[in-house]
Parts: sequence; structure tokens; C-alpha cells
Amino acid sequence: MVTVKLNLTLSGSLGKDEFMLKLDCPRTLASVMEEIGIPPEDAGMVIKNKKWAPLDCIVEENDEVLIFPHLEGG
Amino acid sequence: MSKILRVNMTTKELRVEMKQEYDFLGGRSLSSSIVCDEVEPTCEPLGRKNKLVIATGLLSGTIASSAGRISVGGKSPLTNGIKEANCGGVAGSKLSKCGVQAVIVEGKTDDEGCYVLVIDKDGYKLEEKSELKFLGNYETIKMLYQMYGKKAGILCVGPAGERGLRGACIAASDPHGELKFAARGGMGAVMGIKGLKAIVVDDEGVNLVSYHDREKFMELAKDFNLKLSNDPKVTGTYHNFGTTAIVKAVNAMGALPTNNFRYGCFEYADNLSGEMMNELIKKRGGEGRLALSCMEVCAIRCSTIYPDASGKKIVSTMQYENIALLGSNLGMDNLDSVARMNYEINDLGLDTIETGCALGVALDQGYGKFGCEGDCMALIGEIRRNTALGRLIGNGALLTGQVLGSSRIPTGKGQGFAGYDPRALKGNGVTYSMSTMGGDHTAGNCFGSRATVDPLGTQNQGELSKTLQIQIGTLDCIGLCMFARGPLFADPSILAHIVNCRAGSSYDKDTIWDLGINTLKLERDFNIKAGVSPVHDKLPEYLYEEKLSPTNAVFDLTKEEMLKSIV
Repeated sequence: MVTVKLNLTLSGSLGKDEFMLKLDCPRTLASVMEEIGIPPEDAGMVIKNKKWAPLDCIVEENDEVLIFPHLEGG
Repeated sequence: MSKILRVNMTTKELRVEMKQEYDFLGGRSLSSSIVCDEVEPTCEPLGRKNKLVIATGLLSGTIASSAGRISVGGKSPLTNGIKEANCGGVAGSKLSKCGVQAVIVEGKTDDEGCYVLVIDKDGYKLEEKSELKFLGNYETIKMLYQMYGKKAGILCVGPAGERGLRGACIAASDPHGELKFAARGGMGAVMGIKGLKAIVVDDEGVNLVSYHDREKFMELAKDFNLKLSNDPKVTGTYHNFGTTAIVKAVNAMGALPTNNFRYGCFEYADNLSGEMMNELIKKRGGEGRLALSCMEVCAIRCSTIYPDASGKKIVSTMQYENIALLGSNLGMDNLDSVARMNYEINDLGLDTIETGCALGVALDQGYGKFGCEGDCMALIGEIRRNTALGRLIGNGALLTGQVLGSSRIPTGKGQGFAGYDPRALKGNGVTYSMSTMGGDHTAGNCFGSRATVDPLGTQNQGELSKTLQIQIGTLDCIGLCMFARGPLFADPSILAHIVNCRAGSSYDKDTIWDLGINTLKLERDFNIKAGVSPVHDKLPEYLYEEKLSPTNAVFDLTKEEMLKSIV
């Protein structure tokens, strides 16, 4: 299973902040996001298995993925 | 012609000068140009020869959203180099309406007087107000409102600035009577030590903002304001969470300063998050507020009022940097503690980032326990009582660490780091060490949606920092909030046209960045003459050796990579 945790406005849009998905094979983050109903372009930052990952990263079984909307530091 | 008000605090003489050479400059480009022209780079920052320059942005006083930031410049008592700090509030806009582009404060009072500079439709005057001496910022603002009316825009310093503590900042009143801060670099000490307690600007009955093409400007400004209002980042994130939105993200990437930058991840980060702040403000009600503007015109509205459990205001505004430096960096596991410390430090007139770093160093050296609000409040109380230990902490992280015997002092060019550990966000390590501003994220913050550069990687960090230094530097010159960058960076021609219609310049989407580039070059030249660069273009040694959990990162960029950041 893959754990996907949505943060800030992303969780608000679905009313749920955590999803468990079964992946048959490695997939792009974009396809995972589409499956749970979040437009891929809404992702601004991804932390995969406690490390920063590019937005075009591949997600595999047992991964934990935190997705944040577009953010700027202030 | 730019109208400059020169205030000599030694002679108490006020003089207006018209300067053609500063046409088309504003904000940071104006303040830094004046500092470079008039301040001896090797002068004592808290001496008679240093000057404090307050400059308005190129769009200040107009209807353009988020463009009223005021720039404060001088030689920094922390970095010993040039410094520019800017903030919101209403004074910038009001100064522009009074027709003043910049105020130069020079000299130093020889008496024990406490002075207020008043600028209004009738002119300019310096008034002695001994009753304000050593008052905290909140009482100062209250009394100044009583003296000059609530519509006045105010810049002032607290007791920390008057006592010349190097971590002192300049407070600015906002449209709600709350405080914003030109926080970094010790500019409050430069102002306070000269004997200038406050600047009061009243634009009642005057609006001297001029336009090259007013009609076109209004059209462009309205369009820009609309784009900003419709930006989901603005409406979704800033309105609901303010800058605290990023707490969990910085923690997740392992860059959240924790226990004096010893760890990059804090187990109670969720308690300090934007989501938690939003929930508490809504649940507690009372005086709590979200989505407040800090300028006369602002669609971003990232300011907040944070209340206690009974709904009574503790502090405005709760920001990411305060949470990082007074929260996780001191081991605090709840927002109420952070808010209470934030209030005290605001009232003293100290930079929360610098003071948070100094407190972290003091705790690390055994002067209290991490996570203990009482211990931290006791140290803050030392600052208020002006004891030797208090003066040490108020003078910033570097001096605190040097005197207390620490080899782990989180500073860049002598200035405390902002809320991002440079080992886990290496681009910010470049900015802290190589930029003209020292340990200041606002000079080029590499946190954010920059999908192509791995924050832990060793490649492209110099170029990323350089790009951001130029982009943010340009916004600083225009007086724009960095959070307004979305629609502007998507189409820089908007930025160029809007500036041209206001100022009569001829920038295009490519040359608008010259504002930032030229300013950065001037500033670096000043720092070289001051002996700051390249000697101090580096981070503290421990960051190259001590692994930061949970990423085990060290700061390992090559010199060649770092040098790519120089403009």
C-alpha cells in the first residue's frame, strides 16, 4: 500500500487528508494524484519517504508521500 | 526629481533636497544607493557617521496591491555591511502621498532627548517627546495615536533600539493599529541610538503621488489586483494560514530549526502548524482574526491576530519565522508560548529571528531548558531589565554565542539565520553566506515550489540563489511584497509596464530585473569596501561537519558553486 497525505488546501478540497492506495506497479505521482481526484498541477512540493522529491517522481508500493500545494517561504 | 528629507540629529536641522540622480529608483534601490553614496563603509554602525535611510517603493501610495512596503537601509551593526530591511504598514504609502521619496537620518543627538519626526501636509518638524523614552512599542504606538491621531502612519523603536542593542528592529503601524517590523540587521539600533524614537506621517489633506500615465496605470493596477485576488495561493493559503502555512512542509523536508539548529525535524511541529493556528483562531473567536491586510491596499492579507483561550488577543501577527525561531528552535511545543514570547520581543523592539537565535544559543549553553517557556521568558526579562545578560542576548546570536562560549552559532555574516536550516535547504545556505544581506532569507529564499532543484543536492544551488536574489531584490526596489510575485513573475511585462506608467521609466520584461541587479552590485561593492566580503562569505564551521537529522545532511557545496550566486 502507498500512503498519500494531503496538506493545507489540498486536503480541504477533498475533505480528507490521508489516502491508502494499492499500486500494482510503480506509477508517476501525477497518475496517483489523478486517481485520488487532485489535479497534478496543484502539487507544489512533495516529500517522499521523508525526503524531498521532484514533482515527476515515481511512486512505488510502501512509499509514504506527503503532498503540499504551491508554497512560498516568508 | 526625487524629494529627499534630510534630518540631522546632531544639529536638529531639517532640509529638503531635490535629487535628479535618484529618479526611477525606489525602495531598496533608493535606500541602498543613498547608503552607498553617503555612508563610509568602514564607519561604526552605531556611531555618528552611519545614516538611516527610509525609502518608499516605486508604486507606493498607489492603488496597486501589496506595494506599500517601506525600505530601511544603513550599515548594519550585526553584519557590519550594508543592510536593507523592509516591511508593510501604512507609513510608506503616507510618505509617498506627502511627496517624500526618502528620509535620511544622520548624526546623533548629543542630549538625552527622545525625538519624534513629524511629516504632514504642513511640512516637517522634530519634536522632543521625553515621555516616550524607553517605552515599549505597544505603549509608544498608543501614545503617538493620542498625540497625532489614529490615522497617522508610525515608524518607531522600542527600548532595545534606544539602548543600541544590535538585534533591534523598527516597528511600523498597520491599518488595524497592529505592528509590522523592518526586522533584520539591527536597523532599530541605528535609529534609536541617534535619538529618534519615532517618525509620524500624516497624509490628511495631501496626495502628491504623480503618474507618468495615470489612466493606463489605473487600468494595469486594477488588472494586477484582480489577478492577485484570484490566485488560489492567495485566497486558499495566505487567507487561511498566513505565512505559517509552511511549518509542516519545512519540517517534512528536515529543515525546521530545532533546539538551536541541532535537528531539522521537530516532533511537535504539528502543534505549531498553520493548520493548528487556523483551528485555534477559529475555535477561540473573540479578538482572533485571519486574513488581515498589513498595508492600505493588499489582496494577500496574510496577517493574523492570535488570541488566547479566552479569545483575548496575545499577538499580531503570528508568522512562520516567529514560530520557527521562538517555537521549534527553542523546543516550544505550543503556539500560545510562542505568541507570548513574540509579544514581549515585539514590545522590546527586537527582531524575533535574531532574538530566537540568541535565545537558542543561550539555552544550548545551559542558560535554561529547551521547551521551557518560563526559562525563555526569564531571559527576555533580562533584556527588559537591561542587565548584562539581557544586553548580550539583545545584541544578537553571534555576540551571545561568543561570550557564552558556543561553537554552534547559527549566523551568516554575523546575523542570525532565518527559519530554514541551510544544511537541508542548501540554496538558503548560499543566500545566508553569499548575499549582501547575510543570514536573511528575504534576500533570496529558496524554499518553495522550485521543482527542479533538490534542496539537499549540491548542484544548481548557486544559480537558484542568484535568480531569487535578483527577483526578490527587484520587488524590494518596487516596494512590492514577495507574495505578490505569482502573477508578476508569470508575466514580468506587467511589472515593467506598471512601473513605467507610474514613474516614466522604460523598462521591459527583460530590463525590469536591472533594478535588482544594479542594487545587488552596489551593495556587494559596499560590503567589499567594508571588509565584509569576500572574507565573511561563508557559513559557520559546524555546519560543514555536524550531520543534521533526519537527513544527515551537512553543508557541502563547493566554493565554485557558491560563487555562482554572485551577481
